[in-house]
Amino acid sequence: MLEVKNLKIEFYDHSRPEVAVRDVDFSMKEGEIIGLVGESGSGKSLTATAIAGLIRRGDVKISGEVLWDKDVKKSGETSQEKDVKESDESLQEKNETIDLLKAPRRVMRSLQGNEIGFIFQNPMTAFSPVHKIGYQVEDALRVHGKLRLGEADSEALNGKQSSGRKIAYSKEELKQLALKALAAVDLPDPERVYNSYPFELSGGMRQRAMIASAMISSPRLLIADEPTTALDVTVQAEIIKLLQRINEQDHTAILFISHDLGLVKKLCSKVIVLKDGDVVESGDAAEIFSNPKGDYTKKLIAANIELGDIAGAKEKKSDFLQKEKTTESVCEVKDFSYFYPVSSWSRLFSSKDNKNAPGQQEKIGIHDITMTIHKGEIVGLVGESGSGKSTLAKCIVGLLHSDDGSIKCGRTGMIFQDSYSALNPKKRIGWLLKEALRLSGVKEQEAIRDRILEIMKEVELPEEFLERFPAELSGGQRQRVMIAMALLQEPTLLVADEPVSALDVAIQESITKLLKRLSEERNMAILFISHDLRTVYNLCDKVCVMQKGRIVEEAPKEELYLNPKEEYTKLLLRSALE
Amino acid sequence: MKYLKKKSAQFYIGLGILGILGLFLLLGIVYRPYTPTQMDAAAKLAGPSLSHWFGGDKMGRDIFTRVQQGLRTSVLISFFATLIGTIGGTVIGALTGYYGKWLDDAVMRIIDVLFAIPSILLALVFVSLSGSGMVDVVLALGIAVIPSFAKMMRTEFREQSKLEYVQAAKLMGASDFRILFKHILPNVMPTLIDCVFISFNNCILAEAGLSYLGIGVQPPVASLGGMISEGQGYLKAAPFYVIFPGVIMVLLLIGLGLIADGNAQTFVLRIRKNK
Repeated sequence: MLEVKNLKIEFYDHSRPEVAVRDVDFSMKEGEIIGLVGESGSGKSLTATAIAGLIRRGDVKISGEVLWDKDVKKSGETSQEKDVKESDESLQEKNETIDLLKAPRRVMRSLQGNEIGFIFQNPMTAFSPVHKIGYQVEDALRVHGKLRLGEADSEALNGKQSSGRKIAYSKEELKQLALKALAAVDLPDPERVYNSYPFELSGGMRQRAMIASAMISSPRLLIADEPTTALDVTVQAEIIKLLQRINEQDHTAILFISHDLGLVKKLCSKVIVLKDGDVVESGDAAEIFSNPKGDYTKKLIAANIELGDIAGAKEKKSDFLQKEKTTESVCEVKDFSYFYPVSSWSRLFSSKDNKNAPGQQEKIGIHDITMTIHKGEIVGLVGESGSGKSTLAKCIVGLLHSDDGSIKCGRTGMIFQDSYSALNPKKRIGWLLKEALRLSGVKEQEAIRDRILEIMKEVELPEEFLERFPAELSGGQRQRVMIAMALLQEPTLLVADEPVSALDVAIQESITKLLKRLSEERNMAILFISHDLRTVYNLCDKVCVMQKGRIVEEAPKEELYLNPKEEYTKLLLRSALE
Repeated sequence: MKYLKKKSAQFYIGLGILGILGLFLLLGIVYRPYTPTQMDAAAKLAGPSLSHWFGGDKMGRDIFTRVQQGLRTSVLISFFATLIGTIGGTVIGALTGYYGKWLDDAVMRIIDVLFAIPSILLALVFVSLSGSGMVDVVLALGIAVIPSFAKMMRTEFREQSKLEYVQAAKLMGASDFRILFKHILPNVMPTLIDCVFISFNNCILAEAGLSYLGIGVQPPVASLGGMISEGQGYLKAAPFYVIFPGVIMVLLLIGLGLIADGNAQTFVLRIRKNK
């Protein structure tokens, strides 16, 4: 159905050409699910957008062939469109393949949203915020009308004038089809969703609506570009199930792009591993996962742990409870609550209907938190976004204050998720580190210099970086600088708010290793906040689970992973590790 | 010098124009046959000649010398007015943007009110209240441009305050003053520099306007606006009376405008490249 040959994408918008994707070859059959795996920047999204014909810019040069075999569709497709007699003629057309890279815009338009559906990574931005969901879901049908592909492009290819025989759907028809599509993606109350604006829906619901809008024209190929990355784990699992069902029911082929091997393993029958624009490995999913050949693939797979591994590791770390008794605490939180102040303005403007909208009630703060962190202990704090993890972190380090309950802490340092905004972009690394020391009271130039060189060694960064600006460093390196800055304050507790969530898998691992080593060497406690249960498992001694502003479960790591008590914990674990 | 690299063409053209004006001012320092108030009965409304390059005005004073003085006055007044605006506006903007809450609400409403009045009108009011010496004009214009600076800087500071590097600095124990002016200020510099150019331009225009209306710098001190005002009565008999000060002012405004524009574009280019 789809064959990609020697796909090469080059950029010309900088002084010298950059090759982003090199010689990607693969072919897809009807109803197949192929996973495209790789770190960010490996060119997986570019490949997908090139196939969908979404990059056609002067400064991007795409070479190679993307052959689209458009014929197979007709037999399966026309049954849905009984009343369109015109398309009968096109049924008799012979098999044709089009090179999507060279096809004229008109032909591409007849394919896009019709034969090829696309799901974007971020459901927040992929919908126009000022149009209702229903309108946007129908759009594919509105654009393509009842005229099926066969006619439009056979005319275009034969050089005939378009006869304008597109029949527009009536409003009623459109609405019926849209409601059907929304119901098909398991959205409760399609009627309400149809009449909602994107901001009234949660991320998961929006992603479902996105899938509905891609699936409404029953495409043969669905390109899903990291469809679950922006979502919480529990929602992720549901979306994956939905894609699986779509694949089985409608026999839609799916090109699934992800950096999450767990998901790919669950969903895909074939896997292509990309690195720096090169295909390093491709083949049968089961084969690759059980017997990876490339070093890179092995590394990727090693970064993913399985529930089975946890059971095996249990014996090794049973001395944990004893350690807790003998050490003093560095942070004690007692019956602490914090509520975000609702400003008088927003209270004035929030109408009655808004109060029931999803997401309105949950994000108001944290309640009755009690936790103790001991010296040298690494505590994981997990939960979905909006569960109050970051709020708690900010309260502990003292960025937010509340009189409700008490927090007693030693010296704290904090690492932020977004290392780009957390480092002053206009200052050199050396200045930033110096500033950290100056503010903690070190005055002598000599001492400052020595300490900085020492700390750079400790976080494994070369000395030359002192002269650089944050923008000249990679995400992982910036995160190391953040850690160095925090360490210069000699904290007894390091609060790390999703420090690795924005990083690539391999770099994630090196950063967590660094944190672990530092914790051991300095006997420093770490509060590690993450939504990734795998990373938490690799790093932490104890895990707290947060839900809706409360700590619902707190237990040593092994206990929590093997015998979760709360339903919510079980749900989190199941969606993350299955 | 690093600042001059990699600018758009507009910037260099503007710089060239200002360079020519600079040479013109230098020429005035080297070549000084007359004082600005020296009268020569023979040169009364006389056209450009070898002895009076730009001709003479209604009292027989040398227009070349007076244009020189006018240009110097304009630039000096605008420079100090912009300085006042920059410092005042940045401090107000920084404090309101960073602290927010009631301080922001209160100060910004006042600024809004001032903003609603055109700055030349505002300056007019100040000048008529305080008199019209050079210092008064500087103060008047300076205060008049504070609102636009404050508004821009407040937005910038507020945006930056939300970023995590500010929180990180706070956690390290940096004082608010240090956070505002050591950590955030370098990050709002591009916008600030744009504002400075634009407001410099506005000040020149406003100063000329005030002088034209007769409430700017008082005669016998020459100013470009004042000369245009004097000369318009003799448009037919002595067109050069208006043309020379006019052309110099237009060149100055175009030069500054191009630099401001080119500068803003460079930042856009740089941002695009970084992304």
